[in-house]
Amino acid sequence: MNVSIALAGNPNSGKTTVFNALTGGDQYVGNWAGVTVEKKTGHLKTDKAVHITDLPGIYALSPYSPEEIVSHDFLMGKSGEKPDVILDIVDASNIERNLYLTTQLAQTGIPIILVLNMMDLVNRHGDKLDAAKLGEALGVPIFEASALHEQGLAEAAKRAVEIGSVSHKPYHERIHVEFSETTAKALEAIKAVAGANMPKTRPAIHFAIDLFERTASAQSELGLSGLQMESIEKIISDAEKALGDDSESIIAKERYDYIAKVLSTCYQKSDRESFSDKIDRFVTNKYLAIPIFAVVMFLVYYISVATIGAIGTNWVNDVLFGEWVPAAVGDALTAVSAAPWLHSLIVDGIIAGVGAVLGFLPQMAVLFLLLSLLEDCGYMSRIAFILDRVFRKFGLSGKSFIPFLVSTGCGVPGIMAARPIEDESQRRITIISTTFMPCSAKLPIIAMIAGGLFGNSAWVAFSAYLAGIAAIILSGLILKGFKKLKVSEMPFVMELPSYHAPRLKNIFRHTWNQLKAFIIKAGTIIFAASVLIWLLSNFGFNDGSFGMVDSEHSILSYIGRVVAPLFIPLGFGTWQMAVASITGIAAKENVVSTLSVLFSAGQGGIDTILSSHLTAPAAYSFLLFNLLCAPCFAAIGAVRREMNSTKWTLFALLYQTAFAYVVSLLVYNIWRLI
Amino acid sequence: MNTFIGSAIVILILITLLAFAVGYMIKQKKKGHCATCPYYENCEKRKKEEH
Repeated sequence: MNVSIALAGNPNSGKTTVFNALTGGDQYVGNWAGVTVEKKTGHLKTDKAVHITDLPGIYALSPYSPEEIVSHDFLMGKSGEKPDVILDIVDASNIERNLYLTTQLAQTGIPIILVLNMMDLVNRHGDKLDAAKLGEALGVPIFEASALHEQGLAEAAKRAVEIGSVSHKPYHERIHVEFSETTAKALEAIKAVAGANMPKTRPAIHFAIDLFERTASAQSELGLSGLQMESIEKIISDAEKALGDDSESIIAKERYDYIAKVLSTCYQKSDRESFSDKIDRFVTNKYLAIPIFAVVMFLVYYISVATIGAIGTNWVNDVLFGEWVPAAVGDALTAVSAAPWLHSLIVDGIIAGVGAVLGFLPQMAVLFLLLSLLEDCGYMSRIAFILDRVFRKFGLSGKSFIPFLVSTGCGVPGIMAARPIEDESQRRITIISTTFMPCSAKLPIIAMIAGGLFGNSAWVAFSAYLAGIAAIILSGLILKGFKKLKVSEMPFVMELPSYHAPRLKNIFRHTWNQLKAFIIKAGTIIFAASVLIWLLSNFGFNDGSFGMVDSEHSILSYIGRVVAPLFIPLGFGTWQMAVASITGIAAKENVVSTLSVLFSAGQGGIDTILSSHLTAPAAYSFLLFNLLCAPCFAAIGAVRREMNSTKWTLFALLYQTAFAYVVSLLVYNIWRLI
Repeated sequence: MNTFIGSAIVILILITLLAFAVGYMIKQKKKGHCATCPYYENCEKRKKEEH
């Protein structure tokens, strides 16, 4: 029999970890709220007939942000399917706040099973929580679990399947929130007025609560007459006058009073300062926070670009793709008597192009590993909190940091991660700015410039990261000056997850997924682009006839020479550099592969060759331009979708390119004068 | 092996690899903005849109 289980709960309560454990899935678990922005479905590992849906985290069932709407609509059956049972994943270390949603989930009419997750943290902190008493007080089945260690989940899932498989008495009646006398009377009065309109899908009291809170969806669902609405409004106003508060706050307060009463019988919080709180005293300190962040990020880039990563990259560039692969392939081509032009295409075109990009894989692997480590242990969410103070001055908020952070992997999910930002202008500004952060595709460009002209200095990579943040901050200031991008002040409320030892399995999986995507891209897009670049740079017209020519007379050089003058003020006005920048629009890695093909970089590696073609200021200017200009096609597509407007998309692209041009112009010309 | 046959074999291999690469790019283009999404296989929204 098919059973549908929904995983609901607050953001960062462990739903996706539970989902992965139950389905054997490989979904991305980020250590901050707002990672899941769309629901995901899988099957229970042990029973394919059981569907499990992982919902985006919500604090309440009153839909406000897009991911809350997704969860609310699914649980209320608005998406055409309603789950048979809810596994309410409760972060036991923040139980009071998590139980608020539990009291609302009871209103859906769907049976609930409580899963007390992160019980290991509760025990470690010295808090005392009697799960059995809590379950008895709420009247729902309750299971203690640690999703991280996959404990307690199988039992909870088994019970969920049992309950979901048979017709049963709805559990919502058992989570019976005790309202005050005034509120209870008001709810009874509302039931009397609108009772006949209430369908039997859930108990009348829950419709009454929705109407008391003036929930628009309940009002439209019940199809109340004007007279009924007037009577109900009078009941609500009288209650608000009597209790001295608005109806939503009254219900919220009384829910929390009920929760506090329940917890007083089964929960005792320890007075001890938690391990996380002790670390946060330094990491989120008003004066120390940003210097600590700068040091941490510098170390990340130092280790990945300048030391450990550089050793691997040097070997791959100089030995693997510098000697072994060209020699082996060259010998094979000679053995089959392949034509010289084919030899050139494969060795100087494909191997040079793809090899140049793959050469930076070791540095990227170390960087991804370290960033995943920081995220998984809980530090990255602190950065959003720290930067909120700074970002707010420039028309952004700490919530914008999540898209910026996600963009360091890839701009496409980074742009999509802007969805939870409620303010329309702030969301647009975030979308426009998010690709200023160096994504993984831009790392080869950074590594190429750092290696070729700055002796693999970690400062180059670190400065690229800082340039991204500076560009975001500056753009916030510039863009909020536009009338159509006026930002309204939004509060920033964010949960800081507890620190915990990084989960190696999670880190390696996340790092491998990113590397795999990079390798696939190199083997497809970069491969095809290298072939095209080689063809265009080796064929052209010479003395009126078309055929193989040197690169200076090739088709590509003619195209490049049209655009190259634009880049003269930036210090890299040669056709090769111009063409490389243009090919970056298909995929940013193409910049490196194009240069490698055009300069026939073989044994030396493109970074070495580049040092004879560019000065340091010109190289850095080239780096900045390619980091900050319009992103790749995939990201442009994401911008178009999230902006939902061609006009805004064009504005974003023009702004980004103009910004990149001006910054490169200034940096190059000022540096030359120093 | 003479140059013509050797080159033909190499060209055939290259065309096959290119065909795979282009096929992959077309598949990614069809996915649109979802191309880099790790949740692609299980995405409810996508399945609904495809139906």
